[in-house]
Amino acid sequence: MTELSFQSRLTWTGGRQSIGSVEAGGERFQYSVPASMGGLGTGTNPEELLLSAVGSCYTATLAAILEALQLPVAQLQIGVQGTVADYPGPQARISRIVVNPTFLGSDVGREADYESAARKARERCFIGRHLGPQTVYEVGEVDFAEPESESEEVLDVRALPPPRRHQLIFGRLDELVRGAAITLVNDHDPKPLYYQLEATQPGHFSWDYVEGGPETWRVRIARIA
Amino acid sequence: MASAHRSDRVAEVVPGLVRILDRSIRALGDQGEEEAACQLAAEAWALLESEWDSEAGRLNGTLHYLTRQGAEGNRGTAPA
Repeated sequence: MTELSFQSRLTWTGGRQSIGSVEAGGERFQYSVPASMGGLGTGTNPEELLLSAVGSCYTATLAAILEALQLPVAQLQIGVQGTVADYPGPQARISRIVVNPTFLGSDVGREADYESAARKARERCFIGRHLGPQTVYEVGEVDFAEPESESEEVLDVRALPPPRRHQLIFGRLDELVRGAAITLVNDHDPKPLYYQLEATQPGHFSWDYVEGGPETWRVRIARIA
Repeated sequence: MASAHRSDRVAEVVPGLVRILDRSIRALGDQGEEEAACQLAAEAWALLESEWDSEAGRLNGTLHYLTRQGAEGNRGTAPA
């Protein structure tokens, strides 16, 4: 067993109506007392930082669980909602923290496995275990979505010799999770690839021409199964 | 002994069969059946691609021939 050490550095000048800064991990954030609590509301605030600490730990824990269970996902998006009860007053407290995970590009048909992983991550979340009994910490709604189109890869193989194109394209398509897509750019119609995909993995990919020559062909290929 | 002989024969026969298949599929495509020809070529390619590089490459070439022919045919019949 060993002890690990972590640091962050904070500065604050003035009274309650002031702005401070947090430095951690080489990043610097402004923060203040939230406007809803009578502060300046500039930058983030201690309440959001706590939610971020819990949420970031939860997210990393969930990612590790998905990896161990071989549940594919293109991206995790986690919303964290915090509630302060009995404010103002001596009983004011963070009474509830709810994490709402969204799985982008997950393996459709295994939703129950993802939901189970989402709840397991809440139990194992290291930071969450440090919350006191006055705070309910729970998993809220679990959502599933298609990967965001802006994250789609453009695979331009025009500069590659033909034998290498084939290997590269199949390698990338093998890595695509369900719902994810690439746009293939080629200097001839890549239609042979369409037939080869249908022969090896029938019904697993969609095929949509974005540009159909005569100099350049662009095809959006998405994994649909 | 017999299995070694058979293995040698497979190494001889498969490339020959693929050449015949190539010609047959191209002929089918040239008769206007590009879609069926492409599907046959791709299915044969899928059987060969892991162990028969050269033969799979031949059928990949067949697919390129067929899809190029199809595109040129379509251009020829497209309205001006």
